[in-house]
Amino acid sequence: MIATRQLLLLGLLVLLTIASIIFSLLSGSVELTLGQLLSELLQPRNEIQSQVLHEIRIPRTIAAFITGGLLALAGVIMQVLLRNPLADPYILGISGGAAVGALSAILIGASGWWLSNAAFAGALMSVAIVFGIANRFGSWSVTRLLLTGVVVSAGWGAVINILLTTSSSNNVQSMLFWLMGDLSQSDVGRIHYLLLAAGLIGGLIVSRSLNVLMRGELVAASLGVNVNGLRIALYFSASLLTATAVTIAGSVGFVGLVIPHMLRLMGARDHRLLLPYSILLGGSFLVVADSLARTLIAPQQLPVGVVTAVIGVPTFLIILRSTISK
Amino acid sequence: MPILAIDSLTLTLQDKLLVKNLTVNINEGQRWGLLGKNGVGKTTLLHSILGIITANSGEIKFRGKNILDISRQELAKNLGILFQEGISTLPATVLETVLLGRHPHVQTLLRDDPQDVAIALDALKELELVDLAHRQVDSLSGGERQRLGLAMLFAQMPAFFLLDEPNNHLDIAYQVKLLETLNDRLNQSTENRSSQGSGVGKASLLMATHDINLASRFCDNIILLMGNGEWISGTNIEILSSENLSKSYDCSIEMIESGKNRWFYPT
Repeated sequence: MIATRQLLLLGLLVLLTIASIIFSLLSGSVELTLGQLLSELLQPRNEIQSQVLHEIRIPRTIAAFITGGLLALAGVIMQVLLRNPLADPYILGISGGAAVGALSAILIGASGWWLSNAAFAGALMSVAIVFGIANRFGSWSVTRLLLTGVVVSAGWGAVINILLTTSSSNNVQSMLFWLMGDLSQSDVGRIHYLLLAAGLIGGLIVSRSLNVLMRGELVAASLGVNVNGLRIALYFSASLLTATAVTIAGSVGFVGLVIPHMLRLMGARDHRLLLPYSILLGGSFLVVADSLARTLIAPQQLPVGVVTAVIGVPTFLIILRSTISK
Repeated sequence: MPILAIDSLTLTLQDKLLVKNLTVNINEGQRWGLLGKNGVGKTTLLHSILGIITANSGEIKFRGKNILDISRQELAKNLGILFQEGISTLPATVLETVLLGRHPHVQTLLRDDPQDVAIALDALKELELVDLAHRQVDSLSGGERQRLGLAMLFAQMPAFFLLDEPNNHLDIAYQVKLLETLNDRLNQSTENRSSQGSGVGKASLLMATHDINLASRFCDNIILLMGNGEWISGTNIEILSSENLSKSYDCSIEMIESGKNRWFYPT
């Protein structure tokens, strides 16, 4: 029955998550075997390997997983909020605002903490602008929100182009990496785990209402959902999740758009399942993508956003094709 | 106390006056028909009773309380609607769709309460859809989908049913069947359902339809919208006359009587 199929999918996703993490911890210029990995994790002995593992690979793997999870979760929420299959976490201009913040920071030579906070501030500014304009005329219409977001997003795009064309080539390189999504500068801490956990728990609490909201606002209202309140909560939570993800890793594309669709195509349409599954698949997808990004043309690194598209596009098309032909 | 009291309700839609000072009291167990020609405001009136459209003036009270002061969830436990558009065809099974009707009552956070599943299956049985429980909704015919919408409403177990063109997509046999099923549901009295917390007493119904004969057979009271904000309401016998209907529909309508039934047809 349905339940067994869903459990099977959950089992697969857990396995995939574990496999992706092991793959990521084994990838890199310092060779490690699976046995060495396990013994280093349990009982650190070898100085260099232990250092590489604990100071580089583990934090980066966690950063990739958290970012992927945040983006996939935000993607699911945006798709319900806008009732539009093309919605992704960036559609309402959050990444654009963050990019303008980050690029301005790069332009004036800031990095690290300053860069992250400039990106976060830019994202929040965009969230506030879009909400302010879309909400200005009293009632909230999804179409108006979508249009406002898309237009504001286009505005940010123009500013980004100005920044790119007027910057020195040195800066442009870092700017492009940021724009395509890059985990090499990422710093993930307790606040990020908490945010992802809070997003999941909050999402699960309203998951039944999300199922109803997918049917349209009239249906949802007639079944007892406070549609406006829920939408505002969804808008701000998806925005916060996205802003955080973008602050960690820049605008990594594709994860937030495609992971929810992949899972829906595999039968996880109920948000009680879709939300946790998205975190697992989004997280492990980005972990694998990032492992490849830093090993494929080593010692150089690729922006992870390039790899997500290169793996994601064919995978998605294959799943789409196999479910349609059924 | 009437279960639903509409008091001096005025509704406009984009500057078009739909009803002016509509005052109607609907009592427990009554079946009301809402008639009038296309675009006269039947659907808007139903939506305003549900509180999803705000009226220009006047108020609507459910069991004595203004519906705007009742939370959406509480309202949804008591008032349910079958939308004219029917249910959407998002990928989902029939059973998953009917279970959505339980939404206002759901107590459990994540797992499906077996009692909710049982209620949903009962609703499917009543609408003769139980064999299709695990089918995908988009594989259903128009008529099956319309019955599924009704099953979802039955699972919601409201004390007040709002139906917008319930016989859409139904062939003549199912139109009759629909009336019988609704009849059975409305006659189920308190003892079965009071335990569900959806109130006491028999359920009531307000049905917007363009099938005059359906309303004539099934409804004990009628609201007839005349256009330009005018309306008349009263018992079936009073309101449904060839004179009133001809005026409302702007088309000559005759009546023939056969036994207890009266039939209306355009000339």
